[in-house]
Amino acid sequence: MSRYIARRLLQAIPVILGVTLIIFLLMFILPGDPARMLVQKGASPEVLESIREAHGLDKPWYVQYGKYMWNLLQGDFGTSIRYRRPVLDIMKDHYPNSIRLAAVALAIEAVIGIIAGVISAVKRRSFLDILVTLSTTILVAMPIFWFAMLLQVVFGLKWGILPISGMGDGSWRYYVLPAIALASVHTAYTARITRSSMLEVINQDYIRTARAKGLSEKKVILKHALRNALIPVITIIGLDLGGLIGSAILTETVFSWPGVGRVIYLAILQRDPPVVMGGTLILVFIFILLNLLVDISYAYLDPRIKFEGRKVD
Amino acid sequence: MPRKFILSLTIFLVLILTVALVVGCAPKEKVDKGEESVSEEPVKGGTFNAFLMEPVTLDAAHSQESEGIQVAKQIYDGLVDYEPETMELTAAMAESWEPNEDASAWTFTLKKGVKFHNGRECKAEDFVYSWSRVASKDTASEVAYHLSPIKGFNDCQEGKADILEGVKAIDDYTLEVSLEYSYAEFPVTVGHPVFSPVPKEEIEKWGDEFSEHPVGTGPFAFVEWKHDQHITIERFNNYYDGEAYLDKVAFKIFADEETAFLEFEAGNLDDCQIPLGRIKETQDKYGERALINPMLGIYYYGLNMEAEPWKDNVELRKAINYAIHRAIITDTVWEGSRVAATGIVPAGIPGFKEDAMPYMFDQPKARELLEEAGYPGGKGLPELVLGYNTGAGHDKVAQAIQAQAEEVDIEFDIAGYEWGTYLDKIQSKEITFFRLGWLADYPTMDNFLYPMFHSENAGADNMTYYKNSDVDEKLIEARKETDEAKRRELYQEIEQIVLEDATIVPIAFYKTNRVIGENVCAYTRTAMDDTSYEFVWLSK
Amino acid sequence: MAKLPEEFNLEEIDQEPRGTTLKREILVTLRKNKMASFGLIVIAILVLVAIFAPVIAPYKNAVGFYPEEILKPPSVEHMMGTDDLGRDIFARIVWGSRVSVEVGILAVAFGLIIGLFMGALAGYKGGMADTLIMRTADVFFAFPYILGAIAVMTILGPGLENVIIAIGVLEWAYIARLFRGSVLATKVNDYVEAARAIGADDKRIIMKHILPNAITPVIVYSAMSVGTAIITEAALSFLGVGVQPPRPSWGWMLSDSRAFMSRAPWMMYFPGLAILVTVLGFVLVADGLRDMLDPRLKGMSEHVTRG
Repeated sequence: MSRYIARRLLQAIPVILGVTLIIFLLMFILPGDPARMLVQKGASPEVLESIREAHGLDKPWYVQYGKYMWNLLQGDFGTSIRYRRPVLDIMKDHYPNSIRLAAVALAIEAVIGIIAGVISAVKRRSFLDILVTLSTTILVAMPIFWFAMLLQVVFGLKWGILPISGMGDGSWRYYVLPAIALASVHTAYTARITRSSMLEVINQDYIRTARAKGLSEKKVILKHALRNALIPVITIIGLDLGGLIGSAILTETVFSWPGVGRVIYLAILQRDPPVVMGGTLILVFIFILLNLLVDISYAYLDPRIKFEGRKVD
Repeated sequence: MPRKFILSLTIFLVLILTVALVVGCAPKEKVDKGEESVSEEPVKGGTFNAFLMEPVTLDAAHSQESEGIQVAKQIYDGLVDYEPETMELTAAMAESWEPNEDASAWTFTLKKGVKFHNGRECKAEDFVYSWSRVASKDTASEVAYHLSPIKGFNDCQEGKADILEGVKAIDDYTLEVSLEYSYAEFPVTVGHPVFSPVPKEEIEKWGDEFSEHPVGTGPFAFVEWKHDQHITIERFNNYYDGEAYLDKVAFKIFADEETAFLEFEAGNLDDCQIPLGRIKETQDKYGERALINPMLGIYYYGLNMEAEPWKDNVELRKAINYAIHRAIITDTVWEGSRVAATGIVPAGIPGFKEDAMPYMFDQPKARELLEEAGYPGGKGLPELVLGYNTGAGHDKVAQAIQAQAEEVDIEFDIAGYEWGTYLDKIQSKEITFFRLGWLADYPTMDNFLYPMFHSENAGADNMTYYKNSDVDEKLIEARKETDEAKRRELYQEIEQIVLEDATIVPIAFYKTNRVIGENVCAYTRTAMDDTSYEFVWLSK
Repeated sequence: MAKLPEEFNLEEIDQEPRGTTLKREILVTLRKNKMASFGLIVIAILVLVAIFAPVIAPYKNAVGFYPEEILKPPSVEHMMGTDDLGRDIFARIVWGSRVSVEVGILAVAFGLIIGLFMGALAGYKGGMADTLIMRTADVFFAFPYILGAIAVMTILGPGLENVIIAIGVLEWAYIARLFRGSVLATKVNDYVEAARAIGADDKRIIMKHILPNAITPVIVYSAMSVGTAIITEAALSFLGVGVQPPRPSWGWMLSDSRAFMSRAPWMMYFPGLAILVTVLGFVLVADGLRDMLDPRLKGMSEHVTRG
């Protein structure tokens, strides 16, 4: 087990290195001059040169990269060029907001997705099944930012019952709409996967045996089928957390949520490499960690899978 | 018809400027219960919830973006200030100032007993320290150039000197500043927040983190900055110029204006920026609480004077100027949140000329000029691209102008660039037809004409690469001119020459887009788009 | 997991006699096919609208500036109303379909070209090539999709062609991973061994034997990702880094509508609906394709029928 974890972590190193290199090169070949972004007026060549020098931007890219990586090894994520603040501080301001929102969205995804999926599998071809199938299909096709805007119009502008942007004092009411929007597509996928996974399990021999033994349908479903059907579902939900944090930019934009996706997005536009690097790296860490956790729990839940067996695919 | 319209608009504007800048406490509209009218005496106390977007810094040495300046204006004070309504120069920490004969050296006499928020008295030596800090190489200030007229500036920038040679503390209360050249309006420039004194001991204590713990001599002292949430400042009880009324100002930080506006409508904010697209409805709803006043800024399209086809073709440049119906655009696309430009120097700058602009919307004239330019009916016109930076509705204006120009057969594509590459591409002449704006640093005509049109700034603030030796000479002459009336005349003359050369297409002048709460009194949104909260009070 | 049958014939399976639930199963299949047909019809309409845009609505109504017509609600004259520059929203939707069709199809095609090649290389060759390609793909998976698209667009600058490149550049990794797995599964089949035994070269083996058999999941995925690409284009334009105005794009239209949400909600209803319906078309077709082609799911539904 520990050997497995160690190996997986070792495997992650080239990925992380690759990510840092790619982002660094991306930021470097990005057209536009970070120094020019800092100076609004009076940007004569001399002024720009001295600004560049002050921020170490005048060195060749590999020197800057080497310096960055060296600092990173010592836990230093660098300083934002624009805000002159340690990148880690900026991340501390925004990651909690993102993680909280993602957690709420994840809860919605898990609860509603699984319940809808189970119901639609158990009551196959009922009105409910059709309703679930139809709405999940539509949600899968839904542009999330439009869905978010519709929520704003209906709940905020028409009925006026929920705040439609920002996180205000941080009360739960501010979370409702962004979390629903963020969870929408994922919930639909979870419901679909739960449904097909349930259908597969229900027809396995042991379920039929259980039924034959005269156990109540409810007991069969809850005790035997659900447990086994949920294994792949949990895998996917686990992996979603990373996605919910990283790709929330559109939701964050529509709802003005002070999350990390928007910070990274703005840092790209503002040519602030340390912030882009730091923000993305933390995301990648989370992503890799979740992957590992999911794989471990997967093997734990399903004894048939050996640690060495599962390929990343 | 349009000429008349613009004229009446201008008159209307001037009226607003002179009369309506200060919004007093509006008497309660409904007195039907027979209430006594509310007392007009200022009331002390209360917390003002102000709108703000996350600033980059609160360090005076780096104050360039408007968000930071909103707060810096309250925390820091300078030698001089501007009269909120007229933008005329007034005294602040300086009691008086005197030039030498040719205005190449200035002596400021400081008020006694001015205290920093940490309790120490601010003396002339603090100015020497603070200004040297801005100019020094290590600080790498983006706005150091404001100090460039001062002697020894270049040595400081290059790291050859630590102290600005031209700034001397003669005694505790006398500051002598020698300049590289004669500059009659130098005292106006020191009203910029970058010239504010900061206490050396605090800078040494906090280092780079001074921005998170700013200390100045202003009417409010810094309390707390929770990033992306709020900045709180409180009344400084030892303020030299009379205490403020408000206990606290809490700047609530928003990611966008839309969100903030919703909070304002819910009654959680006392002032707020009105988002584009909601100006008219806000005016209808809040009446005179919507402060749509002239602002010192111009929105223009630049034509690169060293690139084809603009180069050596004044007729073509003029043709575009005539093709644009500015008032329709400011009225519809901008919903009146801007006003059609009437020149380069906007209304509100002391000395501005009302009818400077020679180009009013005139389609036959535009066609005629296009023919004179060598492109009759637009034939032979090379492929033109109008560049703009994405966001803030610039694409809308560009599309509207594209459609208007097409009516007189001047056809061009439009292309949006993100800000990060946009300025580079203009500077490198890859974009030769572009949108830009210029907001005043200080209320002088010089601040519009010198940076944008002096040849020494070509490629920096002079993005059109306009080079006219006559204009260069006159700009220098005007700076030296100590007689105010003569100086203004000179600047008006320069403006006229530049306009005749049609190096830019002035589109609109900015306006403030603020709305304030019902019980907010004595709130002024100045033409520099800021507010001194020291005068504001809340009625209850 | 079930392997792909060598000769996979849909009709044969469908015609298999089954028990009493056969009727229900056929009904289900029909219904599913109905959904897929609906999807096909949507796609057909979309393509027709894109091709015949000039006939349906004049381009000049979709661009320009009409001060007299600003923010008009839907009426006989403007069936979907007008926007804040007075442009006809219906005309913009019609012309916007071109952007969606072009991006959807070309971006996925671009991704397919790189992805299939890389996937085949990794899966068939194995070894260093496999490691290198798959680790590179891992980097792409680790980076959030939309952030990656934004970064690429920032480098390339806005414009339709660049949106296509940006999406294709990100899409290849997913296709490569899928195809590699499928190639690995196919490679071990007897007929591939047989072909190799009689001395067929690599190119021939890949093109003749592996590709046709391993491509199935990629086809399903591609149908789905055309829909995803359309949403991504809209998202990029929504954020202001997508296609260039004045070219009408549904994403831009949604972005424009934000400031007028309460005053002119029609500005947001129609473009959003257009995206939804279009993407739905591709999702339904992808679902239908999967049910028909993916033996795993087919097998599953057979289980159900028997039970």
